[in-house]
Amino acid sequence: MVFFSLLSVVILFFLTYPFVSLMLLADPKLLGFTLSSATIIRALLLTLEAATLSTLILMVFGVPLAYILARFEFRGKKLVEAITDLPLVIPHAVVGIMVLIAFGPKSPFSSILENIGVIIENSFWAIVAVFCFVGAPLLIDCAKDGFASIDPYLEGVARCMGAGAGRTFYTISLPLASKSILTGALLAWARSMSEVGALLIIAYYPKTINVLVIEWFNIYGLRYTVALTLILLSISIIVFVVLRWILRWKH
Amino acid sequence: MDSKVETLIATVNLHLNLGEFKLRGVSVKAANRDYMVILGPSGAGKTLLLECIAGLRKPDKGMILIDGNDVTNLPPEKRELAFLPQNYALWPHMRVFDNIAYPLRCRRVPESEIKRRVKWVSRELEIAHLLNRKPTSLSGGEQQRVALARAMVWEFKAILLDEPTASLDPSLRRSTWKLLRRLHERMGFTAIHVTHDVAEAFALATKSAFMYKGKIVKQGLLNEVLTTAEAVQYLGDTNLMKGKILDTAKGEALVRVADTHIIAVIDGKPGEEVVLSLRPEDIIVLRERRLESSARNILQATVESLELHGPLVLLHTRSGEKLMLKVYVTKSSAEYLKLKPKSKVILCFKASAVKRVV
Repeated sequence: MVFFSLLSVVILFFLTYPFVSLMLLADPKLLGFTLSSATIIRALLLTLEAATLSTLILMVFGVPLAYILARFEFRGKKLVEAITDLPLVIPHAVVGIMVLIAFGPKSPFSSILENIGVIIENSFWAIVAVFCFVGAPLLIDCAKDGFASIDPYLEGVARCMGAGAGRTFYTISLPLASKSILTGALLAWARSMSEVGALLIIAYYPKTINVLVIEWFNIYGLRYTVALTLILLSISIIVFVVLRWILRWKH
Repeated sequence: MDSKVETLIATVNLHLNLGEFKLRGVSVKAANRDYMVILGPSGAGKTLLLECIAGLRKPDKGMILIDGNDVTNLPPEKRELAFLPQNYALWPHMRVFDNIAYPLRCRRVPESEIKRRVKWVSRELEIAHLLNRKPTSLSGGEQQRVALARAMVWEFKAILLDEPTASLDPSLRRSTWKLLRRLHERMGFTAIHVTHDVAEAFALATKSAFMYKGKIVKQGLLNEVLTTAEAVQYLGDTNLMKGKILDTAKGEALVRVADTHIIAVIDGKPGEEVVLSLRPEDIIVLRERRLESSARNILQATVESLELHGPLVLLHTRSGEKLMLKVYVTKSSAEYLKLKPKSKVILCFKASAVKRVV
């Protein structure tokens, strides 16, 4: 027990010390400068917007798929599940290349997309596309687990009581899975907020906050970057707290 | 049969194979206002049958008819059958009121009418004080009454009940039977109720069927249903009789059973409905009535059939029109008494041999 405790202390130290060291290095003057910089505010708002929009898009397209996967058996289901999970294991730079080739200006879809004003390279929509790609598995898996954990009789009885399939989905399945869907949405959103690898390839401009962190680190060095990092860290911690709160509320 | 009573719900040669659970050609009928109890051991396919009738499962083969119309391919919401699963399936995110109002909201009943109906049904089921609660905060018995209210708030063509008392303690089960009987008498709904509990069948059934290994072995009146070999094998050879206490005195009760009277040493009040049990070895068989006997019950009966059980013979006898009693005699006494089908016999048993089950 003592030995185990010692090992645990080592890993806990390794996990917490970076936070402390980051705080210690923070320069309040630089923090003020960072918070008032228009470039930073713009990058931050852009990232928040893109992450939120991509999460909403994922909910519209991902929740129905999650419901199908949770409730129906069909040929090729395993393949569909594999496809939805694949983005989790693809290296971020590879995601950038793939999305660029598939939907970028030289792709077969580019003319259709351009007609509706969507260009997937160095644009807001390129960022949204990457965020959707990396966030999809998180949202779909959570929502699927949420739907699968609903007792099928709760839906079946609603049907017997006179509700059609659509009404049953909106009045029974969706509310009962809402906490799981919300958790998945928050995870996908947080995943988007942390994405940088794919963006360096497909959308260096307009600059998201993480691209800016890397750029500042390369140009201004550690001190300026620390201030910027603290802002990102606070956002992450807020999301983390909200997530834990939802999970507790679920039980 | 009365020609005016048309069959309301019928299944015709229903087949479904889910591996462990199977339906193997189930044909069963429930007429308007019947309280049909389908009795059978667990694994017989009772729940599967209800799910097929409700429309939650599609049979591999066969037909389901409601009022003579083929509904086999209709979705559940087009069948107008309320289904009450074993776990009640109340929606945990809705208040009790909204749970009960759900069938009415699906039918776009005006909100004022919804309020009126929910109030009425919740008064009937004594749950008016629970309307603002969430189902998860209710006891098992309360949940069950909410589920019943939801099934009765709208005029469904029938109510399908799957072992509704399985998770309740014995005293609550008996009060549920009373409640269901009272509601059935007052509202006159049609019910198909599946259970593995013969006492429940006795308490509720106006019509019954015995289901075994995915098949309906027999359907009709409960007494007849229980005489089948499969039912005897499942329930054991104990005689079960439903009756009504007519009078009590000195610790004894006079009970009317079918078209005859039995004296039993049981607790109970006049007017109470009871189910009695009597072991077949506690009955003595005579060919002629003897004057002297300490047995308080002496019935005339006819032997219907004889079954050899090792050194014993199981007699199936009928007393009067409806009372079927199983009796054990030894092989030698069966020979001595020259027992064969249609033999007239006298059955004697003590008042203390009769036990009350329900």
